[in-house]
Amino acid sequence: MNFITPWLAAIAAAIAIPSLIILYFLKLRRRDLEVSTTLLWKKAIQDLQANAPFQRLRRNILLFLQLLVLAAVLFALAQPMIKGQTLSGERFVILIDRSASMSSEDVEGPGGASAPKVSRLDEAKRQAIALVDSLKEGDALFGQSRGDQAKVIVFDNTAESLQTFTNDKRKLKAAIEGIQPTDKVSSITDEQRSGIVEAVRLALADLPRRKVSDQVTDPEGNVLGNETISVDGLYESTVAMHIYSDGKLLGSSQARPGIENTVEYHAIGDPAAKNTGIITLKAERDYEQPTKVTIFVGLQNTDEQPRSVDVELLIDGVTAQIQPAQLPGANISQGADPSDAASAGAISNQQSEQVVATQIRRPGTSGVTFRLDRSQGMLAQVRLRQPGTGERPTDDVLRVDDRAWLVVPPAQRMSVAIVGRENLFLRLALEGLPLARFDRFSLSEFEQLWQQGRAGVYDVVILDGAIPNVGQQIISTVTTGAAGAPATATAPPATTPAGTGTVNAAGVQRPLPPGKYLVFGTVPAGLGLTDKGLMSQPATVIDWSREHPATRNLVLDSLQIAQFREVIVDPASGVTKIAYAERGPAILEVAKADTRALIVPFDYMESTWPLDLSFVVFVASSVKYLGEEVGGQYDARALAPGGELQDTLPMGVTEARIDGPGELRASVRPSADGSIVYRIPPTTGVYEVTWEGTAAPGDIREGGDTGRVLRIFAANLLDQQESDVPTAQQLELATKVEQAAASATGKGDRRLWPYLILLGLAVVLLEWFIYNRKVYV
Amino acid sequence: MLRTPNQSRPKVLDDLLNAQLISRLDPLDLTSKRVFFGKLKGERRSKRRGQSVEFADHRPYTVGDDTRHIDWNIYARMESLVLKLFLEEEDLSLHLVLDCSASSDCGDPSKFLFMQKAVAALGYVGLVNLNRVTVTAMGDKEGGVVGTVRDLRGKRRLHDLANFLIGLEPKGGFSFRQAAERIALTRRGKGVMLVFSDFFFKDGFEEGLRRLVGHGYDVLCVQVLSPQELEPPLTGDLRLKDVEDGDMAEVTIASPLLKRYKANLAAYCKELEKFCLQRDMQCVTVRSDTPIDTLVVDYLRRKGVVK
Repeated sequence: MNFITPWLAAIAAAIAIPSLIILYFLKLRRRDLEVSTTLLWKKAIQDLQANAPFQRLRRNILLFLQLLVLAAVLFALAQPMIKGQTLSGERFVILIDRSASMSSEDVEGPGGASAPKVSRLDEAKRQAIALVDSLKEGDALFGQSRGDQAKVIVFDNTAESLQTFTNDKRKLKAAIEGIQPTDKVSSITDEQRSGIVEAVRLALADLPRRKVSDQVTDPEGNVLGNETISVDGLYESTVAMHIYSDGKLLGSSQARPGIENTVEYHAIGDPAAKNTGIITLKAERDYEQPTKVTIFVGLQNTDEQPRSVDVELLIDGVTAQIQPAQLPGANISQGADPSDAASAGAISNQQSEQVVATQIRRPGTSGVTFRLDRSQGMLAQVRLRQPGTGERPTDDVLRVDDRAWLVVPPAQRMSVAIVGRENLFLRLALEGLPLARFDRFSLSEFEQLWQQGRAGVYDVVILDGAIPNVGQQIISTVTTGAAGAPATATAPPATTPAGTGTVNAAGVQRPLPPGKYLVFGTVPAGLGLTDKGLMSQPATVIDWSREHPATRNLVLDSLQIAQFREVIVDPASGVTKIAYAERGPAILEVAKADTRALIVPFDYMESTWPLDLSFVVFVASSVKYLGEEVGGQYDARALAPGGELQDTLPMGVTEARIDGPGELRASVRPSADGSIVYRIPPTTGVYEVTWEGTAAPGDIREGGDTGRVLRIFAANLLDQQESDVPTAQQLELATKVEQAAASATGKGDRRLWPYLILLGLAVVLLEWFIYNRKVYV
Repeated sequence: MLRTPNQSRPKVLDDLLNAQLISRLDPLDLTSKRVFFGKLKGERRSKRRGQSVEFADHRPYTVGDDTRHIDWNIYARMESLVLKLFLEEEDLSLHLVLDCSASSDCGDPSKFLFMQKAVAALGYVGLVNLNRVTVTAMGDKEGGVVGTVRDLRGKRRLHDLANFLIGLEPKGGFSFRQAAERIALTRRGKGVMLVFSDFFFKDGFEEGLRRLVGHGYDVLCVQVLSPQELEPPLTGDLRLKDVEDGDMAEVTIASPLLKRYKANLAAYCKELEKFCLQRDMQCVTVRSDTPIDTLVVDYLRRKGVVK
C-alpha cells in the first residue's frame, strides 16, 4: 500500500486528534443532579480512576469510536492505495510503441469478450493512462514538486518525446491520448536503427550523469588531486521506465537503460495472436522480354494451424488474378535457435537459460507468383482474401499487412551512351546486350548534347576516362595526393582535354553530373575519394563482393593491372568498395540522391581485363544493375511508411504536387537539379507525384499531351517482424531480459479513501446506536 | 436516591396508619431476645424472678431472703429451705430512632415517608401492648437530635406519636456519632431499639452504633434504601450534588461505573450487617417501596422483634 499524500494526513492528524481529545474534555456539560449521598459514587469513581489518569478515556467507548472515525478520515486523507507493482522511482518514463504491429486488434476491449477487440495501441494508452493516474500527486503542503513526474516517449523506428518531465497529469494524459498509430516498422536493420534504442536514449537524455570524484595519482602512487568524472550508465537520479509494447523490437538488446534505473515491460496483446500478412512484394520484368512481368508475393502466417488464403492481384484498381495460397502453420519449438543464442551472448547465463526455456515461434511462410504480359506501366495492388467470402481474412489481427501496392513502370529497354575514346572492347561488350539505343560520344559531343537537354534519353552513361564538363561545380584539389579534405572553390567551367584523366594541370577535379554512370579510369570529385595517382608496379584484385549484382558472377583472380590508381576512401563518404586490390579499392559504388555510379579507378586498357571474359560480364551486369529501374526490379518507387520520398524530376519542373492516402495533398518545389525530398506520413498507400512539364521515360501523362505528368510511389509495411504479431513475453535489453510485468492486464491503482470515508460513516452510525443503547441501560 | 420535589407529607394519622394495616398489626406484640425489666409491671415476663404467678425455679434459701417465698412443701419433704422463684412480668421499652436528614427525603417512594409509616406502625404495636414507646428523630440540630417523644404508653397516646411524626421536616445533615451519643445518654431502662436510617454517613456509622449497643437495649438497624439507590436510573455526564452537604461528584455514567457503584453499595450494606452482627445487633435492609405490613409482619417478625 502506498500513500499519495502521507504528510498532509500526518499534519492533519497532529492537529485533529489532540483537538478531539481536548474537545472531549471540554464538551462535558454535566447535568446537575441531587442525590441522597455522593458517598458511594465518589468511592466508585475513585475505584475506577485508581490506576491511570486516562482511565476515563479508556473506558469511554464514545471517544474511542470518535477517534476511530477520525483515524479513518485521516487515513483517507493520506490517500492510501494498493498497487500490483511497486512504484520504486519518483520519475517515470512512459515509452509507448506505435509501430505497425501495435495496430493489431487482439486486445479485449472494455465491452468484454463479445465486444470488438481494440488495438494494442489503445490498450497501451489505457494502461499508460492508468499509470499516470497512479502517480503520486504533489500536495498543497509540500508543494507540487514532491509529486511524481513522468515523461512520455513514443517510438517506432525513431523515437519522439511527446512530453517532457512534468507532474501535470492532464498534460501527460493529453500526450498519451494524442498518440496515433503508424504503419512504420520498429527497426530498420539496414540502417541499424531501432526505435527502442533511440527511445531509451531519449529517456535518459536529460538526466544528468553522476559525477564521481576520483583520486588522481602519479605512477609512484602520490596523490596529485581529485578529478571529477561522469560515469556512463549512472545518473544523478533514477527513473522508472515503463515500456508498453508487443515486444517485437529488433535491436532492443542495444538499448542501455542504465544500471540503476528500473525497467518494466508491459506486454500488450495476445501471445498467440493469429495473423496472415504480406511480407514481400516484388516485380521483375524479364530482361530479355520486358513485357513479361513477374510479381512475387511473400506471405507469412503466425497461426499454429496451416491456413489458406486467396491472394488477389489488382491492376490499376481492377482485379486481374486471384491465386490461392497454402500457408504452413507457425513452427513452435522449445529452446533458442543459434541466432538467438548468439544475440543473447551478452547476457548472463541465468538469463540465457530463461531464453532457452522460452518457446520459439517461427511463423510459417509461403509465396505466390503472378505472371503477366504487360508492356505499360501499372499500379499493382495485392490483397489477401478469405477463400470463398472475398472478405478480409478471418482471424487476422493486423490489417495493414493484408494489402500492398507496387509500381511497375512501363517495359523499356535501356539506352546507353559511351563518352570518351573509341574502344573496341567496350563496344563489343555492350553490343551483345538487348539495348534500345547505344551511342558513342566524344567528351565535347556529350557536353553539347547535355547543354541541348538531350542527354536525358540515356539511362546509363559510361564515362571512359573522362568526366564531362556540363557546368557542375569544380572542386580543386592538391594533385600531390596529400591527405586531407579537398578544398572547394567556385570557378568558371574549364574545358578539360579529353582522354587526359580527371585531374588537369591546374589540379581541377570534376564531380559527376546527376545520372547513372559507369566510370572507368578516373575518380570523380566530391564523393569523398582522394586520388593518390597512378602506381608504377602492377596490382592484382585480391577480393571482391560475391553478393553485389555487378560483381556477383565475376572471377577476377587472373586480372593483372599494370597501372593501378590508388584511391583513398573517406569512411564517412558512404562509398561502398566492392573489389579490392593490394593497394586499395579496385571497384567502388556511389549511391547518392541524384547520382548512382560504379567507379573503376584504373584504366582497363592498362590491364589484362579486356581480354578476360569477366570484363564483358562486368560491363553487362553493371549496366543492368545501374539501369535496373528501367529493366529489372522495381523497388525505387517503394517507400517505407514515414520515410523519405526521394526522386529526381525532369529539369525545368518548378512545382510538383504529392497526393497521398487520407486527404494528403502537399506541394514540393524541386531543387535546381530537379530532385525532390518529401517525408511521407507513416501510412501505407499510394503516393502520387504530379507536375506540369516534361515527362521522363516511364512517367504517365494524364489526359493527353497537355495534362500533368504522374509518377506513382507505393508505401508498404512489408516487414516480417511487424507481421509476426504474437506478443513477446520478454524484452531483451542490454542490461537484462525484462519479463512482461505481472500487471500486464492493466489493473489500475485503486484509491481506498472513499472506502475509508464509508467506514467512518459506518462507525458514526454504530456510535449513534451504542449511544442510544447506553441511554436506556 | 434523587430528591423528590414537592413531597406530599402525611397530614393526619390515617396517612401513616390505615385501618387495614392496623388490623394486621393488632395481633402483634413486641418481643425481645431477652425479657427486660420495666418500670411498670406489665404483661411481659422478665428474667428477673418476681412476683408473678408463673413458677420459674427453685434456689436454696440464704439469709435475708423473703421468708414468704420459701417452699414449705419441699422443706416438709426434704428438710431444707428452698425458695420458690416466680417469673416477674415487666413492661418493654421501645425506642424508635429515625433519620430526619435531607438524604432521607429522597427516593420514590420517599424513604422518610417509609420511615414515618414504619415508626407509626411499630409505635402502634408498642402502644397497644402497653410498652413504653420513645421516638427520637435525628437531624440537623445541635447534638444531632431534632426531637423526642418519651414514655408513651397506651393506645390513647397514639395521636401524640402521630403528631410528632407528622411534625418532622427532614432537612440538613447531622453527625450520627453525636446523635447516637445523645440518644444513648438520654434513654432510660431496657428494651428494644430500632434505628431507621439509610446509614449513609460520611463520618461512618461505626462510632454511632458502638455507642448505641448494649445498656440493656436490643438494637435493630433498619437500613432503608430507595429503589433508585439500588438501581440508579442515571445516564450521561452528571454532576451529582449531595443534598446534605452540597458535595459534588462528577460522573460519567457508564456500565463499568454503575457496576462499580452497585458493588460498593452491596459491600457497604454487607459491612453494616457484619458490624451489627459482631456487636450482637441485628440489621435489616429494606427498600422504601416495601409495604409496611411486609416489613413489620414479615421482616421484623423474622428478626424476632415482633411476634
